[in-house]
Amino acid sequence: MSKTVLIVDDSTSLRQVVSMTLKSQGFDVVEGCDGKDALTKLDGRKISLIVSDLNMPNMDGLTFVREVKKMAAYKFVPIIMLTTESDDKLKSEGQAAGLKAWMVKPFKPEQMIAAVNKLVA
Amino acid sequence: MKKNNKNASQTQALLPVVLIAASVGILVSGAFVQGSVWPLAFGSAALLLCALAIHEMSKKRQLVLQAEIEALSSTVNELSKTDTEKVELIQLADTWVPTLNSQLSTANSQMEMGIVNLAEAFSEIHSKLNDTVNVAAGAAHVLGNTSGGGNGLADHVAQSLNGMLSSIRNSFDEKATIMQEVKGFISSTEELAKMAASVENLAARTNLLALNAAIEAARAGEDGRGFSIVADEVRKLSMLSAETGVKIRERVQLIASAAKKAGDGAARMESSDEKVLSQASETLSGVVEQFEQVTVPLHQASEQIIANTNQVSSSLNNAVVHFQFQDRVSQILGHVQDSLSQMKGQLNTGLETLNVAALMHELERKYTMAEERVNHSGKGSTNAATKPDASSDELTFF
Repeated sequence: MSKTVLIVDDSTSLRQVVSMTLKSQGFDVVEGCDGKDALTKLDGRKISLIVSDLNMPNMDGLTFVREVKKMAAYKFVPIIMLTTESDDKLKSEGQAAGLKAWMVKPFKPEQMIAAVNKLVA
Repeated sequence: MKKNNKNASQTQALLPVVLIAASVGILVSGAFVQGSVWPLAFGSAALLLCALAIHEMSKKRQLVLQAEIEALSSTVNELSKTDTEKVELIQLADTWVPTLNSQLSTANSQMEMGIVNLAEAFSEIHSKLNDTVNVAAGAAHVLGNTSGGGNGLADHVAQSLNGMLSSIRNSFDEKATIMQEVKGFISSTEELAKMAASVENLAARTNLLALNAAIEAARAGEDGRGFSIVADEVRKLSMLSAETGVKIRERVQLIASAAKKAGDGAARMESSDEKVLSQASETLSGVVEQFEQVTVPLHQASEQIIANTNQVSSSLNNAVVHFQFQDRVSQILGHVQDSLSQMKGQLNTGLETLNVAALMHELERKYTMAEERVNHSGKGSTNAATKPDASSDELTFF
C-alpha cells in the first residue's frame, strides 16, 4: 500500500511540481493551499509525511506545524519545510516547532525524493 | 549697454519732475508778463508740460502694475501647478497604482495558469514515460537478462527444446531397453515351444503306456478289469495332455511370431531413431538461431527504449527545477504589489504622509529571497540580481 504525503503551498504550480516528483516514486498525494486548508485535509486521514511552505496566506507554515504537533494523531508525522527562506533564525524556529528538515526552493527532484524516503523509512 | 539702460531709466524717472518744474516756472514767468498774449502762451506751455508729466507718470504706473500683474500671474500659475500636482497624485493613487496592481496581478495569474498547464502536461508525460519504462523493462526482462546481457527468451526456448529432445532421446532409450526385453522374451518362447513339444512327447508315451496296460489288463481277464479302467483313464489323460501340449505349442508359436515381428520392427526403428534425433537436433538449432535473430534486436531495442526514456525522464526532472521559477517570480511580484498598495494608502491620505523610508523598510521586511535583498541594496550586478539560483542544494535535517 502506497504512502500518502500532504503538500501545503499557496502556489498551485509548486504543489504540482512537488506532487509530480512524489507521484513518480509511487506516493499518493493530498494538497492544501495554505495552513488552514491543510488542517482540514488531515481529517483522520493516514499521512506519512508533510511538505509545507513557510509564507502562506490565512495560516503560515510555522503556525501550521505547531497546530499539527498539537494533534495526537499527527504529532509524530515528519514535516519538511520547503521555502525560499534560508534565514538561520527562521530555521531555528522551525526546529523548535518540530520540523524534521528545512529545504530551500528551488529543490532538485532527486534531493526531495531522497529526503522524503529518508523520513518515511 | 546696461549702463545706458540705467541712465535712460533714471532720466525717464526724473522726466515728470523736470516737466512739472518747467511748467511751474513758465506760469511764474507769465505772471510777470501781464497785459499781453504771453500769459496765455506760458499757460498753454505749462499745461502741455503738465500733460506730458502726467503721461510719464501714468506710463510708469502702468509698468509697475504690469509687473505686479505678471508677478501675480506667476503666483497664480505656481498655485495652479501645485493644485495640478495634487490632482495628479490623487489620480496616481486612484488609477495608476491600482492599474499597475491589476496588470501585475493579471500577469502573475496568467503566468501561473500557464505554468500549471505546463506542469500538468509534463506530469502526464512523466507518467507515460514511467509506464513505457515499465513495459520496456518487462519486455527486456522476458527477452533477455538485462544484467547479464544474455538473450533470455531465446536461451529459455533453446533450453525447452533441448529438454524436449532429451525426453525423446530418453524415450528412445527406454524403447531400446524394452526391445532387449522383447528379445529375451522371444528366446524364452523358443524354450516354451520345446517344453510344449516335451509335453506332447510325454503324452504320446503315456498313451502308449496306457494302451499296453489295457492290453495286459485284458489278458488278465476278470482280475484285470479294474486295472483296465485305470489304464483307460490314463490314456484319456495322456490324450488330453497331448492336446494341451499342442495348444501350448500353437500359442507359443503365435506369441513368438508376434514378438519376432515386434523385434524386427524395433530393430528397423532403432536405426531410424538416431537419424530422427540428429535431424531434430539440427532443426532445433536452426529454430533457436532464427528466434535469436528476432529476439536479440527486440531485446536491444527494449534496452535502448529504457535508456532513452530514462534520459528524457532526467531532462523532465531538470525541467521541474525550472518550473519553480514561477513561484519565485510570483513572490517578487506579490511584494511589489503590496508595496504599491501601501504607497497608494499613503498617497490617499495626502502627499505629506508619503514616507519613502517606511515603504522601503516594509518592502525589505517582506523579502524571502536573496536576489530581492541584492536588488534592494543595489549592490548586486544586474545578472546576479536577475538570475535565480538554478537550485540551492540547501537541505538541513534536524
